[in-house]
Amino acid sequence: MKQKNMGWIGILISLLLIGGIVSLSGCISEEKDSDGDGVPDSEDKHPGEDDALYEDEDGDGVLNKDDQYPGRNDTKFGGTFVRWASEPSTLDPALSTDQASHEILTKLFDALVQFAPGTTEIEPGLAESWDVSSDGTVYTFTLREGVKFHNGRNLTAQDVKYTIDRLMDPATASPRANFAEDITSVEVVDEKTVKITTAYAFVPFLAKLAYTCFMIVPKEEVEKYGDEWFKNPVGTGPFKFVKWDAGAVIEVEAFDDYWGGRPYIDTYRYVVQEDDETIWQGIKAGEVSLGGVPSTHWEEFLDDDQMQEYSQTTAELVTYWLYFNCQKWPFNNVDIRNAICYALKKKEVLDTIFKGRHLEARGPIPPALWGFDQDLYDDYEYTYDPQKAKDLLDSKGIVDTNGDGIREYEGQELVLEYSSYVSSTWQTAAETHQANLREIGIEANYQQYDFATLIGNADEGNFTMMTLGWGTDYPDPENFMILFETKNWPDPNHARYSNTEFDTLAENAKKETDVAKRLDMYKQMTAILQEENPHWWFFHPRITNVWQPWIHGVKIGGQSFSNEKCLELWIDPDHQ
Amino acid sequence: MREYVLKKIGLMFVVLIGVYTIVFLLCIAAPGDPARLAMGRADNPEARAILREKWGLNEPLYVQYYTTLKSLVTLDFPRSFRYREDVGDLVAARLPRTIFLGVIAIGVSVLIAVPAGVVSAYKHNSIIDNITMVASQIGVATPNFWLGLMLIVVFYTKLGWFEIGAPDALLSLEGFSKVTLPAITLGTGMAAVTARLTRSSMLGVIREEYIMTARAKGLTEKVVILKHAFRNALLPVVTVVGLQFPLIVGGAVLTEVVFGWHGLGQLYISSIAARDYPVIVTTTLLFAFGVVLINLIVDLLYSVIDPRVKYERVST
Repeated sequence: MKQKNMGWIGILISLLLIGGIVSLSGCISEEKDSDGDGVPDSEDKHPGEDDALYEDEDGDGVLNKDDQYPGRNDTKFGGTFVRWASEPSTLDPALSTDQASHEILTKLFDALVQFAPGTTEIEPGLAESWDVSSDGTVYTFTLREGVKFHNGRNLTAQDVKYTIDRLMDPATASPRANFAEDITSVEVVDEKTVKITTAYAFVPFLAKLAYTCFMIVPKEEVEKYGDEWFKNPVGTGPFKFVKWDAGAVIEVEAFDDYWGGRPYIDTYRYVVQEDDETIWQGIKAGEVSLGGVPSTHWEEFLDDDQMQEYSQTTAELVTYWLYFNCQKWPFNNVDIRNAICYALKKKEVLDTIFKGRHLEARGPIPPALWGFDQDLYDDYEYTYDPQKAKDLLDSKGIVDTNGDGIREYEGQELVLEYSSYVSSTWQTAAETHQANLREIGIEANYQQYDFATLIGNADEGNFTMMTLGWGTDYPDPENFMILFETKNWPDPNHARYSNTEFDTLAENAKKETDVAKRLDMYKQMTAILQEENPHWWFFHPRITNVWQPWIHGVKIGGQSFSNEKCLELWIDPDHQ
Repeated sequence: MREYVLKKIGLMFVVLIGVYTIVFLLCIAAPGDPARLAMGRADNPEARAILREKWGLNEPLYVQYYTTLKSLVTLDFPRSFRYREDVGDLVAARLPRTIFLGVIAIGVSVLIAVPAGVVSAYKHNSIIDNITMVASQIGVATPNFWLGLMLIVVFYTKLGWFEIGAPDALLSLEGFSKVTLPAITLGTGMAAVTARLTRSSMLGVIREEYIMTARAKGLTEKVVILKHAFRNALLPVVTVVGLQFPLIVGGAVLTEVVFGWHGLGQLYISSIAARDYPVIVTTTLLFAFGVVLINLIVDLLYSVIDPRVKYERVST
């Protein structure tokens, strides 16, 4: 009995003893945490400093101080982003004119200013800040610190001067040398400061500087490669060049030292594929990361909920139209142009052929661009109304005198040529239009030409009415209005339109720094064009891009996906 | 024999010069200025003039004719207008892909066509014969781009059995995975023609008296058909298959575009659209060279297949 009691006490004492030893040993093994941040000194990468002071801004579990790419979540790095699209013509920024080259060049190079991702807003690029003189002719740019070319050299103000001088040098034969024609001098103030002087205050100047031809190139590489430079590009962009197998594939890979932080994706693989139908199959098979929905598959897209979830529709800064040759019979007569604008079906054609995807145009400036005026759009007079077309022609005495059903003008039957590039879509539209014109007593013969012939005809004035489109090089209405200035005959003013009031407004609007006044000028110009219709305004395309569910961070602005730097794109780890 | 070959080679040069002249004149006559195309959608007359000068487009025609011819003969190829790259390099990068596709497609075609043709002839007017001939009729009538697209939809998009596009390495798993669908597309169209030809050729031979003799000798049907009939029926088949090869190289354009095969056909067609004269001229001549060369080889093969054919000078 006694023994039993002792046992209980013994157990109790033992337990107390064990507890004491354990807690004592705990005290002994507990390490010092001198900065009191909860991380023992032996494990603390920064002992003596409170880790809470080092943020983990990207939330990847690696503190900013230890993070090779602070601001970029380490778990998102990796993978190949695949595009199938048409072939770029060059990888020399000074020679590029097409969207395909632009897509790659935007990844490889930077300009002084650039467009914020997914927008058409100007933001600092290689220049971190700039000042504009009060008269608007002198721009002083301060370059960003720590910008490296892919060859490891630091960017200097000399590179900016070299790039612009090279663009203007006739030996470069840049198709966009005229973009620099208003620049009178480029001056290196010091290592990091460059001063650009222009002949006159040109308001969209900064937007223009974001264009491909102003992307900064390193002199030593251009000179080293000479004729081969266009396929050995070295820039400061987020991706560096890997290979270009002409006609087949272009690959660029993430540049670790990019000033804006390394992009998430490792590789941007651009495969040349000209066939829209095959590209669509590539998207459906999951091989192509991102691509457009062709009109032929529009219903299929609308029926697919998942596809719609990973898609974006963008109103592009593009307008399609029919040029009237305003210097040639019969379109030197504004009434005939206007009558045709009344006569041609627009909405119906867009709804049937383009499945209602695109927006009807009623003037040159697309709604997504600054300078577009909704009132002018709504009040546009020459919408489809065949009766008005007939009345207008009748009232001007343009009637059918010999009873063959075709009206005569200046003693000639109104038989016109309607031309377009080779496209089944345009052919269908043209067939509707032929019927529309026949209804008002005008005969149109439809002709298709390949692009080389068509553009040659446009330059030589060898056409009556023809289809083409125009997209902005830089997001400013000025870039649309140049098509109607007399001084730009015959290219890009293919219509050979001329109006002195318009010309004066266009010239003044370029230099007007007061935003409200400038806006009003573009409104007046649009009103003139809507009254005289040098073009038949057809549509502003809306492009729908779809991407795979494992692709994230897609941003697409009004200047299309090709204009994006793709810094924020990332791929799910199990698809990397 | 040697004299015959030499004569043929001499004729080859005459043909090639003729082809060169015609292509050169066609390029000159075609509307559209390559330098204007390099300007993109808006012209820049100064830059355009510089390019025209650089590309020699302002030279008199006879100078352009001679310069290009000289560069081709000396193999010191001109630069492509569009790619600003040596045409020889451009072609060399694509030629292996095109030949690879061509060889596999011919293989597919022969594997389908020859057995089908032989069986059809042997089982003349049977149900097998009828099925084969209807199938070949369908094969002839099916447009390549449509068949290609259907193969893509079924075997690439839906089933995922094969890849499409241009492989990095031809003789690899990737290479064979990617060549299968375009090779079937091209091969089946040709197989249709070859099968019909094999059948009619076999039918002609089977009715010959020496076949009856062979049977009368008590030879097995297998020996009669394969050794006696087939070998003799092969002559026109080899001719056609041989001639199909350059046709594939030049005619695979649509198939190459649909599958993104990036071969010579694709280069050729896009160069025409871009008015890339150096590429057009060089590639056309290469095609022409291929045709005359294959013709020569086929001629020589005759004597191997049919010992009766000999290229001896007939002494008078």
